[in-house]
Amino acid sequence: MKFIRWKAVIPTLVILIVAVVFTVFFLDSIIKKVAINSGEAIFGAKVEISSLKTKLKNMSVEINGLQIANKEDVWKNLLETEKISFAMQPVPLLSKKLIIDEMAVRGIKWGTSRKTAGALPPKKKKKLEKKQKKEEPGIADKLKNSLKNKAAEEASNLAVISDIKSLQKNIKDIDAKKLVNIANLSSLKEIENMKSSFAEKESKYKSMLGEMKIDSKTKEISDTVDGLKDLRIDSPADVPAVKEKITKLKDAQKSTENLLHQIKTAKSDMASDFGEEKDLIRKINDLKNTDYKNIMSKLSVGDLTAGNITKSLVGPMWLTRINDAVSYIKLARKYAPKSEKKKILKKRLKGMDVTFEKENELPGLLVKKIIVSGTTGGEGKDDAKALDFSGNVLDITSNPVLWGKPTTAEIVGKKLNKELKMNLLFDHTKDVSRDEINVTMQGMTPKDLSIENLGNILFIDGGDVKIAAQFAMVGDELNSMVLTKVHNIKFGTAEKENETQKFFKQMFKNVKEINLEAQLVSKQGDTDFKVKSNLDDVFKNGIKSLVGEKLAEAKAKIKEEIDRQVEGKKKEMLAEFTGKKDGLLKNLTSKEQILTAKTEEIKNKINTAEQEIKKQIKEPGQEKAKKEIKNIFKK
Amino acid sequence: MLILIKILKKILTVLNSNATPAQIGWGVVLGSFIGLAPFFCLHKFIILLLIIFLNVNMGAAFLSVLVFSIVGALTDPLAHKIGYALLVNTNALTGLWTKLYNMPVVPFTKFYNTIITGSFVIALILILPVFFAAKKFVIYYRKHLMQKVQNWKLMKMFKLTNFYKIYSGFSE
Repeated sequence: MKFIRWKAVIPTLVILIVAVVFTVFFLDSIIKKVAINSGEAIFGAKVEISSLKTKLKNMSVEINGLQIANKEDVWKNLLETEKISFAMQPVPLLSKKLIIDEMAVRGIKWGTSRKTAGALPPKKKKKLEKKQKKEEPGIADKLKNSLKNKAAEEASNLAVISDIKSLQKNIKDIDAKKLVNIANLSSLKEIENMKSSFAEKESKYKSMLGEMKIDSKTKEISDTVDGLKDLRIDSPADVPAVKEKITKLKDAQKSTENLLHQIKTAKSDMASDFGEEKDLIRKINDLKNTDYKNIMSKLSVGDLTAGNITKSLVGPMWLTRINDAVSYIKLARKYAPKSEKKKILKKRLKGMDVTFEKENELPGLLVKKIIVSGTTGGEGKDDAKALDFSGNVLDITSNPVLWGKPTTAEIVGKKLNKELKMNLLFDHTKDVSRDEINVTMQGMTPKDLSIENLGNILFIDGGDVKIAAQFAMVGDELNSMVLTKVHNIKFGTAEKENETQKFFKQMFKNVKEINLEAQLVSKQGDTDFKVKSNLDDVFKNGIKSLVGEKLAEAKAKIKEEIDRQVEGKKKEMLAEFTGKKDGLLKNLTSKEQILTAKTEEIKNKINTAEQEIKKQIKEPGQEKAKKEIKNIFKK
Repeated sequence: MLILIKILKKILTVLNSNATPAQIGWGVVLGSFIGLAPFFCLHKFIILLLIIFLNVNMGAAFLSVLVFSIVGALTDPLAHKIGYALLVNTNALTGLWTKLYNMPVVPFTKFYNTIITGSFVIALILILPVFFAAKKFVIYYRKHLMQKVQNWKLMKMFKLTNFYKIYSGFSE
């Protein structure tokens, strides 16, 4: 008997050989296609690869000419690399693990110009958007939106000071009375609401008191009590009459106590319904401030305080950079998430999976070291100011908890006196993720950092710029600090200088150094952005000379007009409040006092009757009456 | 009903083929390994390749897969107990399992699942009994029953179907 079924072995071998040949010839194009598709799904823009070569012998891959387009600006690349090369460890591949000891990424560039648009075809874009919609927005997305809004806010403030002529005219034209009249003050509305609510409350409590019929009920009780005289027991025959009288007295006491309880409840309800005067005053004052802010926001003069102008000038620029940093952190958090803890036993549909100790278990993806090099220049950028950089990125992994080491990077660049140093830390090995990006730059020119034109208002031609920036995101909290120092500053002139530009140039003519400290803190959705600078004083003086006095005058007039319109009504409302509340209180208190007195009176009467009857039945021959009267005074 | 007829048809086709009793016996044995394991894993694939490449009776093997899948559903609790005893309670074997667990490819066999290991052990224990029982049954059938069955109307109808012709051609 033949042991092998050659009829089956030969076709299988043929199929295998065809598969191997196909792989050898087409593997590169398949991997290239997969890489492009995955990249496009991640970045939402075109990803191009000039060539991709694999060598099965040493499991190496070489990717040449990688370009990732920027979805926000499709004519620019987000990232470009000349060559990426790496070799995979073959044995872990059999356990579905991609382990790379060393990877080299050469010729990194970003923000370079593209010859063709990098937008994805609409059909593909729609498909990707559909997929992405399913994802819940993470903290990084929320933070990005918040930063975008903040940048837009600062930019709109900047628009106000960009046109000094209109600004001066706007301030001059301010008619406080007219503005306040058309503003439909919410404080006044609230006063009217309060007044009508007081009237409603007053009638509610008055009708409640009416329904209680305190006076008639008190009279009824008094009559009953007054009619109950001669509580004497001379013989057992008197007992039923005395018993009835005592029961009536007790009923009257119960009714009085009930009424008293109702009055007390009504009194405390009324007090809490009306509230305290100080709370009303605070509410109206808050609304007055809101009204003032609303009017000011409609004036197109912005908040021209010195700190705010510095913030508006440098804010959008730094907020955009912080936004970029958050984007990288978001990517790091998405692709290197925290891993779940290992479970020892896991029940399945059938049987039980037993987990044994993993010796040197490796994550699904691990790149131990990446040697990077590149330039800040490139296509469409000024290569003269470009800086070449190089460095290492360590421990990129899909399972940081298992690998136990955070992803770190150190990149340095130097050219003549220019220096760049960047340190990254993406630590997702613990319960709370910690992502840090620290950048220091020195010897740069304003042009190198694209700060030569501040809001098209102020132009900086030269100076030595030193920047120390730190972005730290611990859990959901972002803390970012940017310190900027510009020495030997030289201000420039716009080609066709307008009034505003002239004014600002004049304002800054004696400034030789700029120190700027921008801080952004974001905690649980609240984003606070602060800028401190020596420019604040310069602005303070400049604005004062430009519009300061007139603006302050206009602001005071608006405040005065609001006060004039609101204060009178407020007093009226408070008088009404006090009158109504006190009136009700007085009424309720007097009823309370009457009922308290009545309750006491009945109590006393019952006590006296008890004493007297007890005295009477002590006399001889009253044993029977004593027996019958026994339970009458039980409380 | 249709399934039962199909199974009967398969059984008769296998028994009446030219395959030797040993070929049928080994087919049944290999099929039992696949049938007893509840879900797909690497060792099932290897056994499938053995069924295809070795000169065992394929019809018997696939029939055995069907029969032992039903048997497997009944033996799952026993398989779980055996697997649990070997994987969890036998400390002497922990070193071996840990080594296998850390090897490449081996974990794809899902040996760490109690039912997979248990059913594999059951199949191993049953190799000789299943082989000899199947072989003996074929010999007995061919000697005493085959002639009678050939004269069944049902058998004559089966012989007319395409499947029988294709199968007979392949099993020669």
